[in-house]
Amino acid sequence: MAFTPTSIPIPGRTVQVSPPPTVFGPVPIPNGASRADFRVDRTQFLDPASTVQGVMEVSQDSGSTWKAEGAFGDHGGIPASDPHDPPITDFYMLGINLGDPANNNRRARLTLTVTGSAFVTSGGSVTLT
Amino acid sequence: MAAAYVQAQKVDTSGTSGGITITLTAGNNVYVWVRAGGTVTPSLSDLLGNTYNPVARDGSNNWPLAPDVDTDTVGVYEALNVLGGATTITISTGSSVTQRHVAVEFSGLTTSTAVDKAALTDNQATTTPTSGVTASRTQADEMLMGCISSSGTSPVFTAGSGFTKALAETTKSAVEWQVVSITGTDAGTWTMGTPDPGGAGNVTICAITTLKAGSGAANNQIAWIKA
Repeated sequence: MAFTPTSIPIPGRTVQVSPPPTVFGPVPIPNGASRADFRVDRTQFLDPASTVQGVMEVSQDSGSTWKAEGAFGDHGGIPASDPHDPPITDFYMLGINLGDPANNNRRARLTLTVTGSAFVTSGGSVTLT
Repeated sequence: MAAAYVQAQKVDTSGTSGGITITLTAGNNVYVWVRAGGTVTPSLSDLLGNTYNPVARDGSNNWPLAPDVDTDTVGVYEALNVLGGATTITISTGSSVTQRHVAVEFSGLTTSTAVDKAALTDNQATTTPTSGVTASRTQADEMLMGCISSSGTSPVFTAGSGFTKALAETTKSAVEWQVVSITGTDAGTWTMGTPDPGGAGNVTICAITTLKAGSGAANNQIAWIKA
């Protein structure tokens, strides 16, 4: 049976400077899913003197080990969006490869390491396809 | 050794940098199709210490064409004869912009001055964009690397005839490849499910870079003739 795309909510929280990192997830990945889009609200990350390093990670063994699947860095403020695209309001990582769709033990998480000022995020979602 | 596609990885995010995680095989060449959503000067590095140089960029290098009608920055960056191992290729842009980059690893290419010919064309409001045609290649055995970047919201890229789409793409950019073994001119072609809407600020950039296979390919051919 084909996998039905689904979205898993990520609760809001405060992203602390210390101790790093702040971890969103892990989110269990259901059988059949092959790709994930990870989004977390960043509208309160506005201090230009603050920095963030984000790493998207996937586990194939229920979280015992993790492999990075992409990363980003930024400073506080809202990034420039492409012309004609909506404003960027999230930290996001799109099209993440989740590995073997038949593996019951997959997990995904996003870690944020912040310097400068803590901030509050309203959360986000992981969309699985 | 003939030129061959090994793998592709990508990152689709935003910020002042984007990181592509990839495990490289020593001795191969890596090409990163950079697409940054603003006018920036990217710099690339990885954790292994490989050096990435721009071999083709819009408005400079091998694509000395008119400025794009949008403000995106695109380019091909090359790391020759890489050190192997797990790494993250970081594309730093200084400004906080969208980061949609694809890294492709090839084997069997020459490890010095691999880029032979290149072309780039800005297309608008078409489902069949093209890079334009290169000058004639200097040798028969080469790898063609076609790249596309669209400002359309849901472009859906299909590789052109003879090309294979690399197994990693972003929401607005992709790479295709083709091994060739006879001399000639080349163009990177694509089909898009949804074209960019055209008008100010909307463009689909297509590019092609031809990459020379290593001398091993010629050696293999000689051995076959002798047999």
